[in-house]
Amino acid sequence: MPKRKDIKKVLVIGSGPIIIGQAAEFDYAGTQACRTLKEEGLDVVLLNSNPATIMTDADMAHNVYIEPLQIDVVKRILLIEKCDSILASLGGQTGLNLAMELAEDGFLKENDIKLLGTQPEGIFKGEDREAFRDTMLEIGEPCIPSGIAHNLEECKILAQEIGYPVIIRPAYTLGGTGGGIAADEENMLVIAAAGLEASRTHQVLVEKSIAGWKEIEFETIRDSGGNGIAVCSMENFDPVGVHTGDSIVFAPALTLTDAETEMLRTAALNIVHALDIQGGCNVQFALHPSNGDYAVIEVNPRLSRSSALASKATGYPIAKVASRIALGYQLDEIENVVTEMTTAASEPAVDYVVCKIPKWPFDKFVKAARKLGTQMKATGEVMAIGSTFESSLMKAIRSLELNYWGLYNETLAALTDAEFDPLIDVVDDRRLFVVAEALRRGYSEEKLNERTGITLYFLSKLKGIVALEMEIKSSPIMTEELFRQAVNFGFADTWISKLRNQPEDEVRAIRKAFGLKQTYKMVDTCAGEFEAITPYFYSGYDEENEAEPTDRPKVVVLGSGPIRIGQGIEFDYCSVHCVQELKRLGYEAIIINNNPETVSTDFDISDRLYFEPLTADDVFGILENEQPLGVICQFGGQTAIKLIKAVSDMGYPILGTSANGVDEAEDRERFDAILELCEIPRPRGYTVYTADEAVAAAEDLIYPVLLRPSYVLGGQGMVICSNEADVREYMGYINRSVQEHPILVDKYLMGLELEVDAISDGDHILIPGIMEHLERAGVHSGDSISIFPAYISERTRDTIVTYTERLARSLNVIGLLNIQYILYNDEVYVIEVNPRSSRTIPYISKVTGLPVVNLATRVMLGEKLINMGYGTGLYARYPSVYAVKAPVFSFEKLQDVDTALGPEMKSTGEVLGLSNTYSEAMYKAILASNFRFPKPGAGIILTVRDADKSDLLPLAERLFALGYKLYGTGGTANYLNRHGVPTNITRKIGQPAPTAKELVQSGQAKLLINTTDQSDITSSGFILRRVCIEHGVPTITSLDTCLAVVECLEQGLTPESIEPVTIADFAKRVDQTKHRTLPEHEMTQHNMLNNSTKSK
Amino acid sequence: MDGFLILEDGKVFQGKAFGAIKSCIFEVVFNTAMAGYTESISDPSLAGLGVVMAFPSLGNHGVRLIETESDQPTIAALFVRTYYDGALDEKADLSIDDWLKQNNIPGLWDIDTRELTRYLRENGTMRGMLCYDKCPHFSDVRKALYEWEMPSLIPLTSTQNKQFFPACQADFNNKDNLVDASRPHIGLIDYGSKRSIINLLNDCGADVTVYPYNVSAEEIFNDQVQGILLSNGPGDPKFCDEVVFNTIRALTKSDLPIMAIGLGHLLVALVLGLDTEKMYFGHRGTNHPVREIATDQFFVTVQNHGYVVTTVSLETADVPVELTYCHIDDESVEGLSYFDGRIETYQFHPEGSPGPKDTMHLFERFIERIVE
Repeated sequence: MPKRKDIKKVLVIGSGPIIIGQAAEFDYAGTQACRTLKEEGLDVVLLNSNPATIMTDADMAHNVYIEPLQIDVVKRILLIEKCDSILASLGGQTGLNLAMELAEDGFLKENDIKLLGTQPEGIFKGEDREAFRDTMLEIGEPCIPSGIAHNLEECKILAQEIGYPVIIRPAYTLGGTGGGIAADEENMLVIAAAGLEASRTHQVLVEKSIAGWKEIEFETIRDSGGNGIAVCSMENFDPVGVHTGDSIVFAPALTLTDAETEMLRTAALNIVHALDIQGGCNVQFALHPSNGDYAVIEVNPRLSRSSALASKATGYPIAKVASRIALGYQLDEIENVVTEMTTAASEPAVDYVVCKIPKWPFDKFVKAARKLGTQMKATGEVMAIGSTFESSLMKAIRSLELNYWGLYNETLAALTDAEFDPLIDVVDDRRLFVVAEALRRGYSEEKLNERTGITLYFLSKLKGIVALEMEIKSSPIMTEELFRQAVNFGFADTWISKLRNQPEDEVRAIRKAFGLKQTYKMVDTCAGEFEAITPYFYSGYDEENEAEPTDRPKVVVLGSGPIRIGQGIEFDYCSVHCVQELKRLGYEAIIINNNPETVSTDFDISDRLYFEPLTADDVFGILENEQPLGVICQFGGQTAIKLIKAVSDMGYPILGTSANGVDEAEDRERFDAILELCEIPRPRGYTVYTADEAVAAAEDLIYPVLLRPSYVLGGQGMVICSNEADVREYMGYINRSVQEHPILVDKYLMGLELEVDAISDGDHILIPGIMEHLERAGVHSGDSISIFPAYISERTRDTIVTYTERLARSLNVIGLLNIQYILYNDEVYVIEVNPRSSRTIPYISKVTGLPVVNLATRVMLGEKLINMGYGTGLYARYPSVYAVKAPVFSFEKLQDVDTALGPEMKSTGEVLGLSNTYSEAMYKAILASNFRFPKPGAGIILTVRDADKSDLLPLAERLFALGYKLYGTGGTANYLNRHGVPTNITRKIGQPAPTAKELVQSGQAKLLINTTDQSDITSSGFILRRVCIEHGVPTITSLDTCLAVVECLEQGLTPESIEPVTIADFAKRVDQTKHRTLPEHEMTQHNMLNNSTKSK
Repeated sequence: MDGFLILEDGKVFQGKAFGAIKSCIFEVVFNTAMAGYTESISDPSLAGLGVVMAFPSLGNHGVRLIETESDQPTIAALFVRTYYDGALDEKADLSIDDWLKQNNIPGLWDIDTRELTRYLRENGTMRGMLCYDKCPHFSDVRKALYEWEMPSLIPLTSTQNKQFFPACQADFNNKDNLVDASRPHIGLIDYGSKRSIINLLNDCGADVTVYPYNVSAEEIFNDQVQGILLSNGPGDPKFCDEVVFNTIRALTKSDLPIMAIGLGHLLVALVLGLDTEKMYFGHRGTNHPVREIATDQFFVTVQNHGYVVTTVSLETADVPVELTYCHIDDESVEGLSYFDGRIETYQFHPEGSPGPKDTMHLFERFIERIVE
């Protein structure tokens, strides 16, 4: 069936901000979709609230809207743009839910708008638990004994019928939010309560736990003509019970017999036929390890994280093909661009093993519960490709950047047998290493299989790796035979050097003397059967090299690895733009990255893609092969920048700021010297190693002080201390692991935080605009609401430009530079300089319309700003627009993480609000961040620390005037009542009823405003904040944020009333008004500074 | 022990020995299936071939003898990247290494199977020699390689005696029920049939009598079978014994419905005046898409062939013939229908095993034709 003729203009819905369970994979899918639809000659309109994505670039669609993903907004845009169709299956669960809502309320029919791809009936059958089970029953596919419950009583009855242990899964949620396994009734009731809360339809599935079965996934694709294929099978290392997003996954499935494989493949295709899928669909199965029984766990009738993985694992572009299917094409009418000889009807055959390992945030959230279950906790993932099981696993491990090089974990190795043994039964992020340690301690594969349910094949393979590690460690010399085995197992030189306690360069020299050298193989979708032209490679140590370098001038761009808190999709945005610019300039652009979710690892983005770990060993191999004229380390976040020295030492030219420049910015002492030279003030500070030194420094600086390790990323381990006990606690915690670099103790200035990104060519700089952080310094810049343009005086603006210029010149910055300033008592201080791209680059590029990364790339290749047509200095001063970026968190996914914001970054994603007025921009941003504005009459709990009480008073007055019912804990309520704001008294948790917790649980309270100094997980404030998260009650932990929310409430804005604006029109308005220096209208107050800190 | 695969053009691949130790000469082909090594290796269609597995990890769940496609594997040699010799569960009868040893099949591992696969793709299927310890000079083995001829394999892969396989529904306790006129009775000529073809026919409710390759048509007619299945098998169809062609010729002239798979499909084509040719590197894998001409649907099929019916010969056929299936990638002939559907032949393997069973309904269709 050829392309449908009745489609001219399509609205593509993106997935919104990055949250756990919905990450960069949808940028990849959406970007592919937009490109494909445009290639097909359609008018494309895009809606996504996430500014950090490639897909929201102005040129990705004919009109791009960065607006809240709310049903009313979608409707408005569909009508404004007169779209005749909508494509939602590439926008994750968010997109799918919106499409279902549009279909359910009749809007699509009324306006004759077609939903492309899988139809609502099919989506409903796939998503609604009851409908799904009925469908499975109809076609004879086995499900797990289960039932639907709408309340706790029903849960109880069902669980008794089914028998414990049972598993609770809420309907319509992402990454299994709110689910879990319960061994008994008490446990079940707790989980079920949260699950009912999390579900959009207030239903949960109570099902028999089948822990111990294998978990197998099939990624399928089907066209409207009824042709379906299985693109890829995947096997979870962990048996059923761990969310697939939290499982180590191998592709293709490795331990199934043909009968098992085909049984499940056939079942998967039967299911997609029953749902009449038109596009991609993921089907998950549980397979009994031996008796051939299986059960369908769930389906995702859309593109998913697994489809991104399957695409990258096989080279089959699922999103592209799914987009074409949505337009009516049949699979055999779609060319396979990899081979140009086959079509999308060919099931991929691979001749390598793919390993995916999740990247969890537990290194940042040390207090979070690490236990893994049905609720996904990982923020990102790495993928590795190897010619052997071992090499794909070893590559994936080192891609995690956790400083693991093999299967050896020092902490585990140090435990006594008695301490260690119980860990085998614990299912958490360390499981791979626990199992390896058990094998090292002599546990048999059979014994471990019994206790963990992990398949014997995996255990035996791990045993082989452990044995080789021990052999390398103990062998008197590295023989050629041994070295050959090590490289076949994917051991990096660094790992061998660590195992043998021998310098790396010596190990490298030995390897080379044996003639063992990295060569590269191609990912071609067909296991070598057809000649392929994909420039998509992975390494091995074979003789043949399929990645013969071309004779074109080449530049290698280092990517940013897995998505984690503090290093998100923004850096992939930068890498991709850099690559595109390099290609435009005629260079061969080569990218190295290991994140399967991203656009940068789409094989047709760069001229060559190396899907490899971002370590010195792996990068070195690629550079040796390619001999590029330069390497760009500026765009891949900390992952890339920390390789700059190694790359430089290898003798490859760095394009952009040199390794020395980077070191000058990161090394405290060298940086202080530069600041002194530039005559730029910074908060006073010291570098210390011990707790005593830290206390002495703090006393000299006068509390509060800010403590952090030097060389950090995303504010890792940063804390504000207001007394000696805080300092000692923090130093005790941080010194648990050996610190290579000193700890910094700085005077903490509570001022207005300002941020700039600048492009520097060595002579001049170009600053797109100055951003202001709504929250006072102390909340990490990544977690604060960021406002462009900053409302500051012309004098301050000039100071910032001057300081930025001086710093760029002194550090010899070529390319990008990000600086955070504090305006305190009208004086500008520098707090941090990052000589690289930053989190705010996509945001500031989009709102100002300046192609920042492209300009920076040209500068790195020698061009000068004065010749580029955008001028120098500050590009936009105070244009008549507002762009507000708000953070988005994933707290509901992470138990035991404090939701109170502080200097350590906690957000996983961001959204943007754009408008001509400040209040509408703020409202859009807060709305897009999924903040649920309470309706007048609802209860609001106020509980703030003493220092904040006077600041709270005017806010409380305004909330009361708006008709909210105020509740306060003892001190807060007394203060407010005393000052004439009627406030009900509620007790703290632990005190007699009625407590604040009960107000939240009963649904009386719809907002919590809470500031605190404590983050102790036993404190009442902490517990209250967690209770709120679990009940979907928004929590505000900064009064600055609170002010913004109060203003939004006062404006009476609603989702229906907001005016959508395209990003291109917005940037145009910036351009037209960029020279203005003052606001067009009288400004409302941005934050609390005017009446508090400034006057202090 | 080191082992060497020497190709007829002098190219050498070095690996390590596993399975049996046996120097030999064979034709080298590659297979891209990712699962189902037990079925692949025991498929008699691959008899006499040195098989390169493109997927790099073999033997992951050991060998379950119940899953084999023939009593004993008949491939000449096996080339892999790695094989698994770790712990196996209770369902496995033995490891892949032991299975090969038992059946006297040599293997080499630690081969860059991707390079070898690509080499065969570029240079076509060719002869190869396996030897050990030291790599001989090519000049010393060239003559042996060039003089080697693929032996006649069907006598080895075919059943020696007529055998009867009752339908699954048959009541095995009641001897009288074993032959039941109410059930379709199919005669299967075995050139090297996979076990799963017989099993599937039984599953569809048919009794199956399996005949040796050199059976006469008279014998089959005497047994009063209602339909004929010409099985898959190894080698070049043109080198089959005359008796094979004679029997098929007689069968095609009868009014019995006939279904043919793989080699059977090629033999029917030759008998009915079409031509076959050797392919450059063949189709061996579990992911081959074929188009069903009548419906414009496509199916993912399992293929295992090095010879193919030439497209041009469709025009010179002696009898009415229709192209029913073609390969989506290279448009080669994948299915033919003669005499308005009385004879339906398939180049691919509708029984899957290993691989997708998306075309399994063709067996049901065949039985339906018989019952009509």
